[in-house]
Amino acid sequence: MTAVAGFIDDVPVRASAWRRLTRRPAAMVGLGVGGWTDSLISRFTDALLACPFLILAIALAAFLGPNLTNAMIAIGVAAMPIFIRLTRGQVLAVKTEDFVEAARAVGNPHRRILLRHILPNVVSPLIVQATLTIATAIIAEASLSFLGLGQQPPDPSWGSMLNFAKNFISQAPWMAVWPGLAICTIVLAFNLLGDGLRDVLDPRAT
Amino acid sequence: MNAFLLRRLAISIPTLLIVTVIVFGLQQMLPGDPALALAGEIRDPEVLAAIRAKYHLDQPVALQYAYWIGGALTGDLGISLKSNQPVTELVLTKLPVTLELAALSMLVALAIGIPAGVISAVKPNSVWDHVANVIGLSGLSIPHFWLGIMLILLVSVEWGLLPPGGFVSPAESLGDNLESMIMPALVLGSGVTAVMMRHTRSAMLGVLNSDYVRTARAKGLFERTVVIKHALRNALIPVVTLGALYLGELLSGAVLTESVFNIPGFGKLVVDAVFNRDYAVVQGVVLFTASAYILLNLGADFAYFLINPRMRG
Repeated sequence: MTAVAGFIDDVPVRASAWRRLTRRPAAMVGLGVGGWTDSLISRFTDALLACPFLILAIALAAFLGPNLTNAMIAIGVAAMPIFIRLTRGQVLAVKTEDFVEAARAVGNPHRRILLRHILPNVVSPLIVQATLTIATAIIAEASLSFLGLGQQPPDPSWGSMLNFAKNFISQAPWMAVWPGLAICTIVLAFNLLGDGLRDVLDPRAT
Repeated sequence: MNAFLLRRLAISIPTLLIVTVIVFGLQQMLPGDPALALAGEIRDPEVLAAIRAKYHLDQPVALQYAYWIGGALTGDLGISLKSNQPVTELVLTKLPVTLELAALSMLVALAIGIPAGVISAVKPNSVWDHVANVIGLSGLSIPHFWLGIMLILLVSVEWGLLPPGGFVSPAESLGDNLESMIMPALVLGSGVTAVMMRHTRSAMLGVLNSDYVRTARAKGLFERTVVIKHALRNALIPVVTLGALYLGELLSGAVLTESVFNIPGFGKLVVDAVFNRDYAVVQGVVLFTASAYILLNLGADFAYFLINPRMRG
């Protein structure tokens, strides 16, 4: 029960929502405006990608303070570049399609082309990536909590349960077994869901 | 030099510059007065003023960045508040331990991932293929730190085969060093093993269906020769570059593995620094890791250029 409560109050789903808020506008603005804006966003994305996920999340949690909200922000920021890259690539591919050219030819404004014509056509791979990233975010949150930088006791989190359990590994090994199995199961489930969604939504990728 | 490599080199410089801005910007995220955070429990106004002057906190942010980047370029990343040692010295002292762990983990990943990927591709939909897929998916789904705890429970506590943690320097005893690194390397390498396996499988499946492999088979070559000499050599091109990129991931993943196995490396340094509010060390580690990652990225591009003749054409 505690493990289930830990997940319900866990951060990954909320961190994923935060990413969704930030990723698309950045990538779309980068492409919509083009030129130096695109270059600047691309270099910023490269720089964020250069900071390994966990190290960046640890650093953000360290400077912002170790708690649940900051863990969400840290995981969201650390995972954001993948979405910017993916959206950028997808928009680049879609914006050369004939239907976009046709929408432009009939005089649609730039914003309308981006939101009504391009965005719906780039959503599928983003949904797949979001599902797979939820799996990564669960592991990232558990890692931060395991290190004491995420959810703080007495509030439950699978990572902090494991951190506590490792001190009693020889006396009470089951304390470490169950939270870990719970993490594996949910991560595996999201990975399989992501693979399944990819098969359905993005058959070219398989 | 090829235009592609020159462009990659040119892109790396602004990227590195933005990394320094991000790392410096971390300090600006500290809630409240950074001098108070740096002073810890001390609230003496004179001490706070001295800290502000020492770290140029009384200067505009742009000037603070200029001082900081100037120091970083000369190898001065500040002084650790906890140990009073230069951050660069601390990082360089801990780095060999983490590099050894990362190198051994990569060895594990290559030794298991590539053969598993090849077998899986050569015999698709066989039992071996399914086993390799399950191992691959598990490697991506099992958190390293939990795998580490479970290995300690089984191998050390139950069977008493290997030490549950700690580190012995190779200069002290190479045998004991390897003994203490077997489990951490397996744990850290598990994720990369899965990635290597999946990429090798996918690359091999593509190559095995190509015309030149069919020609090699038509010439009557042994299947083993076709697979190893003809198919694998080409399939390994993307895998090798991927290996260079994943070395950076291993540096990052070492944080958890070192915490679980109590290894005094780079990762443990950053975790201890977080709890000691040793911000200069955290900044130093992030800057160092990101720079190493950018260099490894460049290295991967150069490796790709060297091993892929089509890039030189």
